[in-house]
Amino acid sequence: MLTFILKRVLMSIPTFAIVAVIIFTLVRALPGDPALMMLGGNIDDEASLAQMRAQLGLDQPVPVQFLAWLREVFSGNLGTSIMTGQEVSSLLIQRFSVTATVVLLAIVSALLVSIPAGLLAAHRHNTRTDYAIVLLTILKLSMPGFWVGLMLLVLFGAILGWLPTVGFVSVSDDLGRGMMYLILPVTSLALSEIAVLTRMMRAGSLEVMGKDYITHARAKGLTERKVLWRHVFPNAFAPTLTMVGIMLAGLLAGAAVTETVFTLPGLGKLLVDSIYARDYPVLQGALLFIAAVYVLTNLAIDLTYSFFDPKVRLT
Amino acid sequence: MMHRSKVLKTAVLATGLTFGNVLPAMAESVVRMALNADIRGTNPGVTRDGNTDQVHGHIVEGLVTYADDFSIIPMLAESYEISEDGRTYTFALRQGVKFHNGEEMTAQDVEWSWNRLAGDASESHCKNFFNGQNNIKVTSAKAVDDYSFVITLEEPYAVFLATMARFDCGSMAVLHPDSVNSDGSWNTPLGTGPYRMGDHAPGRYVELNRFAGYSSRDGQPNGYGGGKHASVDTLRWEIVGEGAVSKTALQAGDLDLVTIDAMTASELRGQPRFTVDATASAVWDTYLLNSDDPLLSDVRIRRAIAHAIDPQRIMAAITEGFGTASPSPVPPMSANYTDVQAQYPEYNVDKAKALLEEAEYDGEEIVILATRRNGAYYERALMAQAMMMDAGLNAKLEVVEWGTQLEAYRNGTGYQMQSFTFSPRLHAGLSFEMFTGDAERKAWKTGEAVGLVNESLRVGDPEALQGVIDKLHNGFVEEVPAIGLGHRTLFTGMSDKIGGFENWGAGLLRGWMLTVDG
Repeated sequence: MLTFILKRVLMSIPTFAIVAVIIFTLVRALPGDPALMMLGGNIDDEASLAQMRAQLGLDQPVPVQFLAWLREVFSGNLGTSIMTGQEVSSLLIQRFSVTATVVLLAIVSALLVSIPAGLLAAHRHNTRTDYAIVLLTILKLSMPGFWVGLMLLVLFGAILGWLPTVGFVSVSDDLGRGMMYLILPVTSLALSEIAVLTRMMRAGSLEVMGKDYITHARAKGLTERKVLWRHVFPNAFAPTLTMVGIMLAGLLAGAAVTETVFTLPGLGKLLVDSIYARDYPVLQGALLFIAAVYVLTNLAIDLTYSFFDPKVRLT
Repeated sequence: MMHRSKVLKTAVLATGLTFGNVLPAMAESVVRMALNADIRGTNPGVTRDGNTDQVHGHIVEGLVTYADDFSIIPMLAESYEISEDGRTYTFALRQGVKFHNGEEMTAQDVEWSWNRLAGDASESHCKNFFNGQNNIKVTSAKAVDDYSFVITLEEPYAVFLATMARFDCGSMAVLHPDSVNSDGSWNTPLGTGPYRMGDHAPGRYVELNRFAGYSSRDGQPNGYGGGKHASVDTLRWEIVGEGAVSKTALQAGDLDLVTIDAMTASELRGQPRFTVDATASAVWDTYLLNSDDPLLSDVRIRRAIAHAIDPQRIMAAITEGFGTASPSPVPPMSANYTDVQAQYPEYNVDKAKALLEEAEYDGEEIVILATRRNGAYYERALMAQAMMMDAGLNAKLEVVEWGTQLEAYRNGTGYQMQSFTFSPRLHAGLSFEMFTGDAERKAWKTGEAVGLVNESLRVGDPEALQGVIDKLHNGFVEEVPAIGLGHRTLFTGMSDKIGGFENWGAGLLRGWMLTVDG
């Protein structure tokens, strides 16, 4: 396993190099001038624009800017934000911790609901229970995440007044209050994931349930519960796990919509804000960070496969 | 349960014993508001944007500032005198004004602050307003004694004080030198304003706390000056990116005062727990016409477009009936807005068609550039397109991201017509200067117009200034370098517990006027 991990980590180095070039090129290809955006209303003032460009290093030729950035990246310095002057690396860590908390809680909650729901739907295939579960997932999939988030805010914040509608308190600062601020975003994210994962789990389970070894297990006299959890679940979970990996990486890379609706200072919100402000250092740093999140999440998922499927060997 | 009372955050301020008596618990008043993006920093005039300026405006003050009618009034200066040749400005400072660290303000602090922003080593864009790059050249700025500060200009310039009062420079904020660390790096703003910097959690919220030692001017608030008798202990801005979320939070009672759009204003108006304010600002919504474009270089085509567009209907539509058209670049609240400025090409489709025929218009495409950014850029463009098509113009809409549109504006190329907005210019000359000049981006480049704008920025006599502004307006109507729509109506939704709120033409919040009931 160690060789596998080492190989994967080494393989990611050229990936990062290519990603770095693409990120830098694409970011510079964006129309719009960061100095202009920084100065906001003072766009009539040429001298200030020139001064701002010089301060931001944007008066240098692009290849020089690229080499300077690469040199800093290799020395572990992602630069400072044009907008706020904060160090990009600390900003990313700060924002990622918020996103990771919400996303991990949402994924765990989603799995706790979707695995039994998918198994149940498959077990009660073509019954009212199955239809009800399928209908609910389709209903949820048809609702835009932004709208669901707002409706949750309106219902639990404005109408019932049970939960806060704006603001954020870190769970590390105050666990109780922090959780109050997390309930709605986690629920909103989890609802979207539940719909997808339940359908995946149901489809996988249906496929497995038609296999000979399941018939054999039943013939042995095992209870349905044991058949489902001991034989159907481990074999049907692999495709769902792949989906969890893709979702996890995507969400950790920034659940921008959820973060915007629930005013969470997360990575996705940071990325969107930095695009609008043409905050090159943050944008470049965040994209590089996201690439790393993808590589590491997929590595982690690959490692988990062997726990569920003994046929998978990590070499 | 619909509306939770969170307006008052109760805190025990004193629990000690005084002469054997227990002091009663006192309530700390908080007004919670929303910013659509975090502040860019705490360094006034250096780290800034519109949101940031608004927060800084509570912490720092300058020698002069803008009044409600955009005239210039003293703020930290008790008074000022201008020499006969118009080159020397002598400011007599108010005495007893305290910085947030308790130190008294002197002319030496003013000199230090001036050099911080306008000196050669300054990182602020503000220095370019005073070093000759943009007409004004300050040759010296010195403290004469503890309470006198003198600025000398190379040449007289009528808008010098107005430039000093610019919000993006914190009105050339006067700060205590301890605002910077010993190595010269920025620390925290120790200003003289009615609020001092409180907690700032980046990406989450920013708080200001009332400065108990604030030395207010006498009298009523006037624009960004006058008396500032702050009563709310804490002003707190949550960073809320979405207008729909701010609105929900207002309805939930989690926010007390938020900027809203016209539709929300219309919805909240008349609801018992909320009040809505709609105030015309000096923000100018317009359509810029590119006179360098082969088609639009023909003034008859530009006039035809002006006659095809009905500003009144568009303004009524985008403001849900709250706003009215005011096509002149000079805002209606300006002292220079007269009957002349109220004139503009009438909406007349027949006239538009006649002009098109005269110009032998043959259905060539006219592309209107717009963005979906807040401020109804897109809606304005869409309505203009429909009206232009009604008059026989082949108008198309191109929607781009704001950064892209801004670049097209700045380069002066890549567009024929665009739905655009100019931030407030509080001097009538500057209202024309924002789109008039030799630079590529300027929509109005004729020699006469440029000359008149330059004259308006130099003339000191109010009557003479009005004459120049009237000439400019007449030329604007005649040559149609842009089509004015109106001055944007700003909407604010508030909990009914909030009192004292008054918006004004500059649109900057004045938290020192707010009160909280209960």
